[in-house]
Amino acid sequence: MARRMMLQIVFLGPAFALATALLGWWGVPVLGCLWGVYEKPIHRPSLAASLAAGLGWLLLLAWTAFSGPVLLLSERAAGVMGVPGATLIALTLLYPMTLAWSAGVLGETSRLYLQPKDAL
Amino acid sequence: MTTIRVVRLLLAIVLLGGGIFVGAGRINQLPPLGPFLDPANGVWSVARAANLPAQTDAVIAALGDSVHVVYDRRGVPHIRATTVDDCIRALGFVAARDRMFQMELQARATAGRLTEWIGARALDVDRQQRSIGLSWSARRDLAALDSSSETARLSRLYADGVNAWLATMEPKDVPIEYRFLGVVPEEWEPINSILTYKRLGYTLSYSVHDRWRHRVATLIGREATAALFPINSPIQEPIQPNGTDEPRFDYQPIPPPPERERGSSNEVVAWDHVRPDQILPPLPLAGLSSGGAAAASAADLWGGELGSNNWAVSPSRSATGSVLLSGDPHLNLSLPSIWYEVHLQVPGELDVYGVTFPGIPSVVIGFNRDVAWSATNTGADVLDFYWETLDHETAPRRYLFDGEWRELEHHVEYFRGRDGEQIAVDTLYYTHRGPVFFGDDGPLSMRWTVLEEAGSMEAFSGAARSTSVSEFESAMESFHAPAQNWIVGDRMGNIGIRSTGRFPIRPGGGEGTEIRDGTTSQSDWLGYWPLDEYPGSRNPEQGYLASANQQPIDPQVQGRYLGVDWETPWRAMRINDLLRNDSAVTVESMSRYQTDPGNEKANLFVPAFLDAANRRLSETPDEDLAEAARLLAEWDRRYTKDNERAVLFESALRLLTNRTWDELSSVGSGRRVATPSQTVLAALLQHPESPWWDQGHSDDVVETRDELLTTSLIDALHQVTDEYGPPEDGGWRWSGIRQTNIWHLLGFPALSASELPVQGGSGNLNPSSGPGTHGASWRMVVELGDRVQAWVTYPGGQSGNPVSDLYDNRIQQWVDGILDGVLFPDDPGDLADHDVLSELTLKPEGY
Repeated sequence: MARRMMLQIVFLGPAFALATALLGWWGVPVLGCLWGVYEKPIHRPSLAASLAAGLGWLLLLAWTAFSGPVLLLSERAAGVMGVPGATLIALTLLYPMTLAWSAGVLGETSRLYLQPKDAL
Repeated sequence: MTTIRVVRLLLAIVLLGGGIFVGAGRINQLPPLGPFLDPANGVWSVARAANLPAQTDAVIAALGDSVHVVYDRRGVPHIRATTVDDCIRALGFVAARDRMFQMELQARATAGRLTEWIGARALDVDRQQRSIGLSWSARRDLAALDSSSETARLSRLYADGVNAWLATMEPKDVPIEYRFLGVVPEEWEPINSILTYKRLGYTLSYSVHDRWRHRVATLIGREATAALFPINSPIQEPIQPNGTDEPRFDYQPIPPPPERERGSSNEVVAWDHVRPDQILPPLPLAGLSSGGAAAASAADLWGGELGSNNWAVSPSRSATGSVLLSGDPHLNLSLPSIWYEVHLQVPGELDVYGVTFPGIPSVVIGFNRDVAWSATNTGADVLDFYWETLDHETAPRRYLFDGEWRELEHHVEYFRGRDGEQIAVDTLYYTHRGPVFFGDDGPLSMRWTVLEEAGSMEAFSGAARSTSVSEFESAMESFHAPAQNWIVGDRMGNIGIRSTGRFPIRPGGGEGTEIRDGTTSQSDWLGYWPLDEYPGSRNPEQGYLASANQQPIDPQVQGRYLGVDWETPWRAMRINDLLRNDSAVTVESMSRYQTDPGNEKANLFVPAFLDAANRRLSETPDEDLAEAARLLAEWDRRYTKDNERAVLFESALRLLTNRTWDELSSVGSGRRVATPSQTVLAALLQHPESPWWDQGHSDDVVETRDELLTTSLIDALHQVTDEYGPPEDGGWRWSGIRQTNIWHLLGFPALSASELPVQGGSGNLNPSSGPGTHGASWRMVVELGDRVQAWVTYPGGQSGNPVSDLYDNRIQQWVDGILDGVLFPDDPGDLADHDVLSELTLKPEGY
């Protein structure tokens, strides 16, 4: 179970990153919902989507950090908003996780009505 | 479905709904979080654009040929093009690349369109901007310009470049400020360059002194007003040398204040605090963070000194035998900086280096291979008000003029919100003179040279190509506003200075100190000064020239009215003194003078305090006075960072000023309507028994000069000790008290540089006063030898990106008074690899 979820997260993470790069932030709830519909509820797709979305955005942040001063940016941008720099990074990771989880739950619920009972 | 699942589903719906709500919409002042936090294209991507790529290409469709841009290690773009047109297009491109937000903010602020970014919070600022007619006159100027005129042509070429940048811009290139505001850059219109230029005119020449003089006169009468706010400076150290080798103290008698019946005067609105002296108004945007309000509030204090210096020495007084020129314009400081440094090169046509205002297609201050130039503000009176008689109080259509009713021009101004919704509508009226204001005292119209001038860009083009002082001054004949004291030197050993701009000739006595009757053509300007009467000098015998916003010409030499309420001459006196006493000026000393700690104001007032204290102490012992006098006497009158006595002097002088001019306080608010120049206070020192020293609130005691000087000194000691501790404890150190604050354009503290200790104070060549938001915006020393060499800096950096290495990299050297050597290659392609930061090739479409 844990291994399956780990694999899901590892594969889904880049997918969330790609979806974000292509569709913007809307890619996160869209992909989260789709994953909730696709994966069996027993495999906790909303949780996997949530963690993978966080990973996806973390990967994008890491990529950005390779080519620019992300920590300085977090300090200054967060300073404008009156919060510590770490808060902005945390918010950047929590936000897609929340979106992906909630969209995943909606996807899971939709699946109840889209799939025959024995497929659950 | 189990209860847990239902709860989970409901929670998910709420979270998703909330997430989408904050993701797609604005909450309060926060931008939509979705696109903001998106690490691929949102605020984080700004980090990827922090530094310039080593090499890149871009397309400007309108180019005739490719343009090579080399950014040197200081981030200065050296643009080499085959035609001037392409060069200006490239200038637009690189300026937008580094400063797009600043450019659009300036143009929008001037056009009164900030509400479209931030909603009704900016409505007052926008209304004020539109009401003074800058946008109206920019539209009118552009429509009237011949499409082949230099100003129209340059503005269009520049817009080509800016818009090419906008077209090629990737999400990472969108400046961070747009993301906080949740808006996107707008296409750049040629009118924006004219608006930006007019903004400069607003900053440097919008003066409502006619209006506050009128109000002062209601308090103390016209005679006293004329004496306290004299047309001619009581201390003469003019820009045009007057043949003396020292300042002339031309103190005039000051008549006593009229008897004032307490409570009988109307409430008087203070006008002196609304004098604009910064490029942008304080923008009501800073509420995004808790510190922002303080920032906006600090920026709203108009207490800073606006002033600039420039000077040049002839070969006879320079150690190297070459002309040396110093440019040191002072403005409101901001991040990103007001200036943008560039080198424009078109072989055989143009090779100019200097600074431009982002948004303006010209080098404003700088040098070429033969000539160097800089400017200080003339401060001439180029704005007048007129009492108007209208046919209706609130919705007029006509105004009375020479006994007939004339049609008012009127424009309906719409103010739009963020989503394009209409949030206010104003109707603005104009007479043939300019915009009409509806004040408490009746309708006024305004005539102002800045509203009659499309941009003076021809002048800058000519200046950039000039090869001698005389060619430069010929080019500058078409420079009309805002009036500037242009100093220039050339490689042939010539130096010159001229106060240049349109100076109105007024009817009657020619003075512009009072609001005139608008119902008659007899009040209208008769024309402008002829060029040959402009204050100026070329190669004077004294071997140097200097200006520091002082009265340009000695009234004993030329009596024609040019202005009033001149800047105090302390800086002018100081630089003239330094230059008089230096017969072998070097580049190093030119640079050192820019932050010289000496202060002529202190040299004049400190002895006055000490003499008064000694006289008093010789009659009556007073421990506090003795201590205050002892501490003040220890001071060498230099505003160095580590001095510990300037704070006592500044406090004493402030108290003396407040107490002396108590008659100028409004009865209702108690607020001083206007403050006479310190030179008038200096003149008053000559009259120990003048009734101006007497404080109105103490009816049974008649104060004298010495009374006020000594009590101010004693009280200053108490105040300073209360605030900063005992004098020996280090709390009086100037570096901890007088600091410069360079605010980000939106007032964000996190993007600002604050509490920078500087060498200087009020009245210094490197002035620092009030909230510390003003100062040297550009420092330049040029040596016009066989090869032109220059050393420069400004407080900021070339990039507008707050996480770029080039955002604020020059601030420390600016604080320390250090200049950078300029790279001025014959061909930017010749720059050594270690001097090159980045290269950009701009190509025409299909190249």
